[in-house]
Amino acid sequence: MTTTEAGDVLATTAPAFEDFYRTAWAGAVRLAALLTQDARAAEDLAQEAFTRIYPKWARVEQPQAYLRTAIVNACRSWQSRRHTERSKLPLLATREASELGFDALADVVAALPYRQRAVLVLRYHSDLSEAEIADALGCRRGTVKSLASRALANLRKGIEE
Amino acid sequence: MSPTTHDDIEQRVRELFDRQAAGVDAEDRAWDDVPVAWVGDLEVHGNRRRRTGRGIAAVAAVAAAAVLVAVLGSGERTTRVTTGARAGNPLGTPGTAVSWETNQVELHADAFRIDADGKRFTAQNAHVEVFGDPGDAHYQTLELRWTEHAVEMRLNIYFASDANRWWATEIATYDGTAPGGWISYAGHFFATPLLATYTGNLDLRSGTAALHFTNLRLRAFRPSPACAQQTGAFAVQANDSNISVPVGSGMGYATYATLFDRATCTPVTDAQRYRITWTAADPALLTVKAQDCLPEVRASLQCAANAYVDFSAAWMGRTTVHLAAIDRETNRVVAATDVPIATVAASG
Repeated sequence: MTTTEAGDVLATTAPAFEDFYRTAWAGAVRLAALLTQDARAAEDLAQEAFTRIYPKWARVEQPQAYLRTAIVNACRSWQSRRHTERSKLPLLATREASELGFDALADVVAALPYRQRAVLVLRYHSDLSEAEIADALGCRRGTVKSLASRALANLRKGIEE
Repeated sequence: MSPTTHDDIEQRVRELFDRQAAGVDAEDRAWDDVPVAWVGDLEVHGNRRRRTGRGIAAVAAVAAAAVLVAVLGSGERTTRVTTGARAGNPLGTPGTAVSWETNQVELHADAFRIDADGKRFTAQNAHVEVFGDPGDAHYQTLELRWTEHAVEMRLNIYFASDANRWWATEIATYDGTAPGGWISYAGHFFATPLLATYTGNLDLRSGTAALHFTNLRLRAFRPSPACAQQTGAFAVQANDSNISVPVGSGMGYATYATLFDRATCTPVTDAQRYRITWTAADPALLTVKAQDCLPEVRASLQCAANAYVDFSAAWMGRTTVHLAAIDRETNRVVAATDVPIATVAASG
């Protein structure tokens, strides 16, 4: 590998899968919980995502990004199966949360179309850029912009009603 | 509770997610604890995309890459960079001539090929989706997608600039498999004076994969094509090139308009003096909802009134939107153009 004016090529080695699993597990469950807004489904969906990565681990260059996309897809699939029963996410400090209106906001978030909620979660929980969200959702950035602004408009409308 | 501003609602959402995440009981778990039977029980899901992005460009992996780059010559308008020994032609066609453009980047080459997973990708006779991130004065991308050998191929180039030069910080392709994985070449490529075109050959290799251009002519941070195409003192354009609006409930595509002073081909500095109108040629097919710029872009974009637009599509097809900039003081149209729009199936 050569470093020159034209290209300083970086090489990294992926961590062992077991190490990655151990460090990324909790975050994966939280992401799945926020995407589905369902407390019970999150662990299974996170596990499903890891299980998808496992056989491909040797050629996965960006494990976190790959995991994120796998979780987004698993949750979208779960959502499309239209579960009628939900296990609403618990809020930390429930009484305070209620006073501040977070319970109501959580209900509106849970009622958003999946892709709109996913954009909000990836933006405000995962702190991803528009480009990163577009790749995770498999869409163009213009679609991310649109989904984000529609989601925020829906939230505003929902909590003012 | 009356959260009326964008910032209010965004902050509340952020806090809500923090509280919800903190309430999720995710105990540590080791892979060894996972029953192996899980693997066989999985159903197959559709989406196969992975991401790349500027946030992780610095760690883009090129494990086992052997990229040898030599600068053979340079000039004010031509910086020749040739990389390594030629890949040879073990897979048939040496490549095809290509020409791809967005409002920000143009790329032309006499021959182009990607070798990956034992296959040669040339984009010949393929429908190539050409788009990119319009970015800002320091960041842009060119992004290409097409299907060849029954798999999705992608080529992304990430650009940066300063006051004097532009260059690429990363070049990434898919690896020829399904689902596709990224092969990323991170570095400092094509450094060229602003407004000038890089010309040269390029060979990049990663293991058995390779990317090649013959007589590549590449320019990023190009002056808006609208400046050359339109007449009068001003030119207006939609920032995104090749707009594709996904059809589906709750789906849409949003972009911005920029008004340029044609004398310098730079955005006008008094954008608030102007108002943008967006008029769909076929309102039944395409719904247009315009508003002022969203708060998060106001710091980086000069925004005329109604510069932001959100499109919704009723069915798949092609149409145009008439884009006009109006001087709010005189109520006269100062620039106008038609923007082609494709309405497409929503992915995923």
